[in-house]
Amino acid sequence: MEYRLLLKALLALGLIESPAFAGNEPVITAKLSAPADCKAGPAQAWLSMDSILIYQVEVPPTGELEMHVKPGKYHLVITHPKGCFAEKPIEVKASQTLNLEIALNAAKEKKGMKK
Amino acid sequence: MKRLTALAIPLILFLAVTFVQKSNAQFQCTTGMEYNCPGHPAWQQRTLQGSRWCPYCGMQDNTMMGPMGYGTPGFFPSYYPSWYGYGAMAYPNFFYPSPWMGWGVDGGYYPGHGGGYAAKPNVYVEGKEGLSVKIQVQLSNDSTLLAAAPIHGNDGWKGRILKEGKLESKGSEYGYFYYDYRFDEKILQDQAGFCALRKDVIEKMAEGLNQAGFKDREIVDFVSHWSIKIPPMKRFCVFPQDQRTLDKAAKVQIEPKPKAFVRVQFIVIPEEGLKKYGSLFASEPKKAWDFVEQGKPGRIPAAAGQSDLIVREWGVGFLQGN
Repeated sequence: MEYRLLLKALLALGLIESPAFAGNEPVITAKLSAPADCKAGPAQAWLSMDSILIYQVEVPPTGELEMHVKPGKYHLVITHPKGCFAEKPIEVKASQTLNLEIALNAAKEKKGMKK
Repeated sequence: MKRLTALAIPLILFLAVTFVQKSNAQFQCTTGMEYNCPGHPAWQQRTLQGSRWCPYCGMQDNTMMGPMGYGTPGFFPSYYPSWYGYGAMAYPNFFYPSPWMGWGVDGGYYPGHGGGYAAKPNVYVEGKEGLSVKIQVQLSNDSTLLAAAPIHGNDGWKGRILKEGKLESKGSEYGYFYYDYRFDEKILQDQAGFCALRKDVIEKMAEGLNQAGFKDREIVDFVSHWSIKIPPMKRFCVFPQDQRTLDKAAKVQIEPKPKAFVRVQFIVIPEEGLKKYGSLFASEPKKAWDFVEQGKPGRIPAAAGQSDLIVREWGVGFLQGN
């Protein structure tokens, strides 16, 4: 009986780890907008977990991007050479697609994100 | 007064020496060697004498281990991108392409399977201004999309060619289409390539891109990004991969059918990572990689495409560390 249970557990583990389940990982998409003085030149999107940088993506300040991640808590920051800035803590769960709209603001304000 | 003078003279001498040293460091990149300095107008003007793609200008490597076990390079490129300051201050692994473990990527942070990580393949498009293009990356079952800009989704990217090869997509202007993916490293070739010290490896890859037909803007993007994001380790072996190999992990469908598609990805392995993948990458490259010859099988014959479209993709890949 215990042997069968162990076998089932191993089978379940194998299924979860199989590539077929890879598509169920969370996805973060972000659409950016920026004030007039920050519309030119590329911005940088920085996605980190506990200060460890996971993705750094160059993107237009009015552009869009997608990032595939594991479930967990992340921190998203958008920077622009002219000082516009946005940041947002993010938590994503298994299979979740998180669609964000991010408005860059002047560096002093550092707010303006909405989900 | 004498005591004050005695103190002031050494101080002035110290400041003068420091100033001269700093001036000399810049001097290497501003007088006579401008063609070595990414971002400098002379560098952009394609000086064909000497080496054009050296981001470090002969600086000495004094790599130091930083906080959390992440190293920091002891020398920096002469050209700093605008994102350098924020990234270097905010993230301990900023000088790495990803979270890092031993000699490669710390795969625990990423979804999917496989020990290969294609970091920042950039797709550049050259064609008639106003032409609409559709590019779709078709990943194999063993590959996983990690990131993309613009959003790739299931349908791929749609864009319109602007001046100088830039692309308009959904109202925004992109310099290139970008993606990251994870793949099965067993598809890779491990026989041809080259090894070089960190201070020379970017230059060698950039020269390879030049030979393969990449444009200056595309090589500038390569050098300015990778001169910072190549891990601060002493020596690397580089195994370039051509289109036929890369198609096994990720095929790229392009509409209209291009006249040519040039595709290269550099698999970069720190010296200490060799012999860590069983029979794969068990030694340094046994033969040189010829960018001109090796690029040919990946190129689509001129008769294949009806348009004047030319697509070029460069990428850098790393393997999982331990």
